[in-house]
Amino acid sequence: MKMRTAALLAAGAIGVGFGGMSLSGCNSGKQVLVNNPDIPQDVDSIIFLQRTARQDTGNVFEYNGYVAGARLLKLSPPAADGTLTELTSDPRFKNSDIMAWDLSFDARTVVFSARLATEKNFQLYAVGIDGLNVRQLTNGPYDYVFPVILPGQRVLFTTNKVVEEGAKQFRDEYERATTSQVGTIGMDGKNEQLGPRNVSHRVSPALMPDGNIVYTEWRHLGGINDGHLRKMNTDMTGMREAFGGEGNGITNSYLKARFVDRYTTASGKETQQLVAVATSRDRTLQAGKLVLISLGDDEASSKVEDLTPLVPGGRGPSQFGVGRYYDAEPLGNPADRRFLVSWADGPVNSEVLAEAKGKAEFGIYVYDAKTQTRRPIYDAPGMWDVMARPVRIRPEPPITQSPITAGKSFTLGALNVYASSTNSKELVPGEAFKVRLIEGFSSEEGFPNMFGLTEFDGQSNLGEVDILADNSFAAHVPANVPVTQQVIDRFAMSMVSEKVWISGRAGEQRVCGGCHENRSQNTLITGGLNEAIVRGATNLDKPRAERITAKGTAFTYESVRGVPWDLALQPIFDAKCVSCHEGTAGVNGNKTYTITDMTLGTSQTVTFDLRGTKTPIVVGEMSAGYDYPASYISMLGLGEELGENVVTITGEYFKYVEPGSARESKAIQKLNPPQRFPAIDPNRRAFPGATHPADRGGQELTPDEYYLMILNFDMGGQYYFRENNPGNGSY
Amino acid sequence: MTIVSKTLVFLSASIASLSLLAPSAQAGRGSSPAAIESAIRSGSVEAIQSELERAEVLVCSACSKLVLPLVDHDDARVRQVAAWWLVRRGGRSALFVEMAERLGQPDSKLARNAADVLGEMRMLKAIPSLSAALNNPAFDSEARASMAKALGEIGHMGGLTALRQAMTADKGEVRAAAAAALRDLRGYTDPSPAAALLNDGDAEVRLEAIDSIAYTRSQAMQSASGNAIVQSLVNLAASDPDERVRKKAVWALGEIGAPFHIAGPALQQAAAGDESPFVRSLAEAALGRLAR
Repeated sequence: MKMRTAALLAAGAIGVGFGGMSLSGCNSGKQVLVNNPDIPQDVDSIIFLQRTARQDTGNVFEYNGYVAGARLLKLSPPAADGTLTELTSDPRFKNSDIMAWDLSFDARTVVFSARLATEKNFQLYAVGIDGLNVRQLTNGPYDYVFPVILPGQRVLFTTNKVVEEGAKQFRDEYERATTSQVGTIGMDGKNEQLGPRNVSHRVSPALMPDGNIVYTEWRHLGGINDGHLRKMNTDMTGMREAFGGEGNGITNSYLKARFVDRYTTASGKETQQLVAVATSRDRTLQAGKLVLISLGDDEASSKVEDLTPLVPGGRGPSQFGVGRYYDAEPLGNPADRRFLVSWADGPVNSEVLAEAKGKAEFGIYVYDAKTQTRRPIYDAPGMWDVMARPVRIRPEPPITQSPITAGKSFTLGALNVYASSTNSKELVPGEAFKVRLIEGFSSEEGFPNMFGLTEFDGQSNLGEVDILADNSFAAHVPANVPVTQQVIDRFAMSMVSEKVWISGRAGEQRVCGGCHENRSQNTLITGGLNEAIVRGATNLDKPRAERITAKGTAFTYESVRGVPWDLALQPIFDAKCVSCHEGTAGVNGNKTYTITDMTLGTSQTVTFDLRGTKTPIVVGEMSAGYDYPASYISMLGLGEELGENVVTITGEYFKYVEPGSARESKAIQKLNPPQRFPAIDPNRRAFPGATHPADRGGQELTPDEYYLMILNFDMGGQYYFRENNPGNGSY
Repeated sequence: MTIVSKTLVFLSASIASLSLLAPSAQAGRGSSPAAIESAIRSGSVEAIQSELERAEVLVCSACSKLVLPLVDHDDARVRQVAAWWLVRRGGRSALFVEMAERLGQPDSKLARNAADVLGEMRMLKAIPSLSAALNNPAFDSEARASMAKALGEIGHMGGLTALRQAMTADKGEVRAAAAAALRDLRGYTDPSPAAALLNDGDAEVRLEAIDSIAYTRSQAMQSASGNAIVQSLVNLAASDPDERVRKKAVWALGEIGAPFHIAGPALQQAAAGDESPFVRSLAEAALGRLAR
């Protein structure tokens, strides 16, 4: 109660007037409830979610924390003399938890996600606005969360159920939590459809009036780590960027986006303004700043306005009188910038609150962004009063969808790979020969913790397709699985690697203008007909059972998927490298260095050594527990593995692989591979200068051996692939 | 990493460029020993979870000493994240030995916590000791349930034999945990082991058995026990005294695509006449998923 009193005092202190009205209880006598002149006249009631105050939803991607005692409440009118009606009064919901809800277009039905007291998972339920006709839509050992009612009597949700039968759901970027992915189901519980998967989470979806869905996606590929807003069609096709990347964000994660208004960009494109919570990923109880996002012609031209500048965007504690916002819903005329919000005062930070043995208490307010003031609506002590929305009929948006063809594959393509707003320097005209398609996965297939010494996810090469004469390409790839693309040059090295995972549904066709083409311009194709379309897409789609099956030891250009270090690369080192590079310092160019880890008080000397000798790591995060072949440590270096330790390094530090880029890897520059496409040409080399080890009298690598090294490095320089998955029997 | 060497400018620059991509929350970066200590001191489960995640690549001996006691924390979520962090550190081999030894001592709580850690380590060599402990009646039900869960976390089919044996344990909690762990095994497609528990006297066991059958989806009907499973589910849908079991049963019939001629009448009856609105709505939805 001290926290609550302070909150109210602080609210007054920053100019949140109570308008001369008295604070009066309405049903229980505990809650704060006042008349509010900011509520539009056409809003005669609101529905909100009341959850027991908690500490376990700090991470913006946590979706299944359970604390008993939630209710869905209707307050009519939203004022001091309003009547509270509990929509979840059915005794089956006693001691349940409810995590999100949505209202049908006719304002007669509520769909919500609840976990019953006697059950283990969140499921979807529907109930009439009068609290009657309750029904359950989903079941099973899965969580169904974040329901959003869609046009066509369907409901969008996110779930940890797996779309691929027989597969396990991905773990997140920490290889710890199970990810949530999108799906839809009928309002009657029929015809469940699960959408394509991301390697990490998808959460907090919302429907916009144009039929598009905006949602939050955690992006993780190599060094990329952030929670961005993305959009997709009603039918879960056409997943694409919306906001947060390309340098225009102000915090790490954006979530709980809600439509505010339409507007037209300078180029004439009709787009949307959204209000969203902007926050750090962790500790902020999924609360943060309120920001107004103006989606531009593309992600790069989108703009953000901080509506609550005093609220911290990081994860530190917020001040009294400032607090943090849990969610926001626009009210009335968008130009008035008024929002129905959930807000908690004081240090909305799970660590600080735990130290103080307190909990944040979100209450419902009207926030005027013009004056940066709040007026309280409702706040029950000990509870989170969140997700308040007016009860009103709204137009049913159109169903948006991408063309779906028969077949089980997802078709990816581009009209002109050279059309790029971000990579025009790398994409030298005439130098791109193929596009490589790579499947992503995480450790759920049995891998230990990480895949090696770098940050990259698990990867498997689906294959490469030709870039045709008009610079187009198209490929059929497995539906529903994350895929990334690399444009590769005549030496089979990536010129440009896509920085995110994309995925599509069975039968979906995604043909881009180019490789991150300028989204505000049309991509023109000559002759009016696209060659990739005329010829048809190259089929790289194989059944899952075939993709995950180890391929043995025959690693050739035609068949290679993963490039396990010990099985695919070590034999090359053994045959052609170790006669010189066997760990003797100072000869044959074998550099040496010593890392002294002052954090641990250990030291390790690394001398260039391409033998497969198991070498324990004794410095950095993997010390005294991990070992890799000397060749792997020599090529990758221990830089990423050292983490944030304080180290001194004497000697000449080296690493010969740049994870994710064969072209930038010194090993490849030294080896100097020959042209691979359109035909192997040993007289044309990737880099000026000599070819190693032939320059020292050694035996040159074969074209396939060059390729294996290039492919491994382009895919992140990892040690483990499906072919040497230790979870299959060796760990 | 702080590097004290002018020869390593290029390395520190590459690390710096990585962090520029997402300065506010690079996964596994940004923690410190003091931050870990502060999070643990706060007692906040969420703060401990998030700080250890941020400390994924942080190494400090002192931190390991701080985190190690958390494997015996009362909250399972803390035990899990502590194990997750520790298995990424040096000393994981010693940790494995210590935890495996705990399975050979009589204290159930220590054994439970050890199972949580071993499950998080996902090392196949833990399967024999976990299997033995799972079927060791000297441990209490909670500990044995943790053994089953750990075998599921490891996910290798090598754990199946012990799980099947545990399905005959005298404690329902153990049988239920064993049935649940089945669906975590990679390559689990044959629902027959779970089918044997559909008529278990403990409702929690029946629930887990149904879930593990439904988890196999279309594979269930392709198994030798497919029709028998359908008949058992029909019986549960019609007459199980537990509403939760009836809900699961009607849902599972749709999930596995049971034949309409066997399951259809039962679902129609449930949709029309079950006392629970949840059973009725789930049965109605399942009708559309039956194989015709």
